[in-house]
Amino acid sequence: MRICVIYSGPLGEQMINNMAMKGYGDQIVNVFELKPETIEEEHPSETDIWSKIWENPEEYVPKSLPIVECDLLLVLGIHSKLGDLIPPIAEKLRVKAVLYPIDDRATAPEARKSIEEDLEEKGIHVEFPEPFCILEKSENEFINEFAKKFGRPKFEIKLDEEKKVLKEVKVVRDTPCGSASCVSKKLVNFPYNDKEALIRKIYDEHHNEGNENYCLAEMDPNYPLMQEAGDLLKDAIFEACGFPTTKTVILDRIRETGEIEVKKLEEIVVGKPGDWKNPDKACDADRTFYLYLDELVKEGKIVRVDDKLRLA
Amino acid sequence: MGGEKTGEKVDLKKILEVLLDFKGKKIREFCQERLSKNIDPYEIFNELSLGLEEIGRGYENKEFQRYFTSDLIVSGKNMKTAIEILKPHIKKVEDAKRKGKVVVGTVKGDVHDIGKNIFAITLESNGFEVIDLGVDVDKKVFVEKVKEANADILGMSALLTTTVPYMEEVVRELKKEGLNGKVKVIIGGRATTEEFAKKIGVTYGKDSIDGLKKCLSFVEGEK
Repeated sequence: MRICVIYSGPLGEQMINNMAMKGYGDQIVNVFELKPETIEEEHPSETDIWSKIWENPEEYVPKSLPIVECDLLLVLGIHSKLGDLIPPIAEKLRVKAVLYPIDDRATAPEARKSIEEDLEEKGIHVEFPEPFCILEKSENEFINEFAKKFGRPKFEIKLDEEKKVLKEVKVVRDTPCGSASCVSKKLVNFPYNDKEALIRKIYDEHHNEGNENYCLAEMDPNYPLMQEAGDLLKDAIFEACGFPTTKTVILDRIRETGEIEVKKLEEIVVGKPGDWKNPDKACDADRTFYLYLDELVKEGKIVRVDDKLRLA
Repeated sequence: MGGEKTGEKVDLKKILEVLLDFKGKKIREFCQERLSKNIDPYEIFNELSLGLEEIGRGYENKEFQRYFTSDLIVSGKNMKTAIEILKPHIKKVEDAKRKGKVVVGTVKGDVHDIGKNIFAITLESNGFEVIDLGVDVDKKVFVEKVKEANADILGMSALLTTTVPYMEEVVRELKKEGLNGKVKVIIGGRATTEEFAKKIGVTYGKDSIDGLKKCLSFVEGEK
């Protein structure tokens, strides 16, 4: 697979670096930094570029962009106003699929719908995972190939039942930012008896700036992408350890009650941010809770009728 | 080593590149290179602070946001690295020559400390004794430390708009404990304004240098 990366800022740089370090270096055939300044510098006499760009994006494709054909175009952290350039760029690079993750609302393309339609017209598949580490699989062969190595974290963990510590932590699928790998190293020999301490360790290491790689997603309490990413990481680790995950907690609560209101279940499972002393709490972001509900419905394990949930 | 001003300016583009390097290598090289040219560590702080301000402005610009959460995190991390590198190069002042005691801290609910740290270093190297309470500081802790240290000045910082009102609570607590007028209060940080400072009856420091000048005027006024 040949990958082209169009990126901006430290978030994109960190992901490229992580992918290159994890054996994708030979598949990345082109890396291009695309910033508002790139376009402004190429069109110095124009005053209202940002209102014109969406009308005629082809004219604003950077002249400095190397045209190297590839299968998958990764768009990482570029400015929201530059999203309109992606369909003409994808066409020029003759890509088969575009992966356009959103780890910060401020970088979400303004015209997401029209980008989707433009790419579809050109016969190019596009996905917008939000956050990037939610990506697990795809109907598209190239994105699916990518998601085997990067996306939603997945581990194989061996426990030392005598010493009650995590003995071996193997990363099966790393987060694109590389935080999962960094957290895995910090968990070797960490005790697992005190679940609250283990959870706190995972969340702290997830965004620990002292690590080589750490989560750089948006952390606004009203749009908690970083918290959701932390939840996915915690659940991946708990699943590999054979401990209850948010999904199993959701199923248990529904089983206990027979039928429960969505909002009521959210209050129990999500609770207050960071309140890991609460034994009922299973995840930190409401986004994670609703993601898992959707997945459980799709997996045929639960049924949602209006605002009520029950086991299928 | 205290360093000297050389008049050599670094352009903002270079500073932004250094602050936004996620690997943190460029900030180390930048600080070492500037120090090797015998440039005053304050001057280096000021250069980097201009970059941080530019990133902050670009983040807050609602019409055309140029910087994002990841830029704030990485530039903040790099600024902390710069503080670690530059701090040992700042000239120490002997206790006997100290100009006054300042208690500093970031208010409760706020864990941002870069601005507060730069302010503390600026004060220390200009002859003040600084008692740094860290971040997320409760009003009772502020008041206790001011009393215990018999401080001349209390400096409070806040980056988040949601935590600014807490400064007023600290001021009320000081009054309650009879410290009104005995200790001068200065506030700063991205979320604070001159108007807010006036409203709660304290002094505003727009940056660490402005804060230093105002602290100097407090202690000189007492003499």
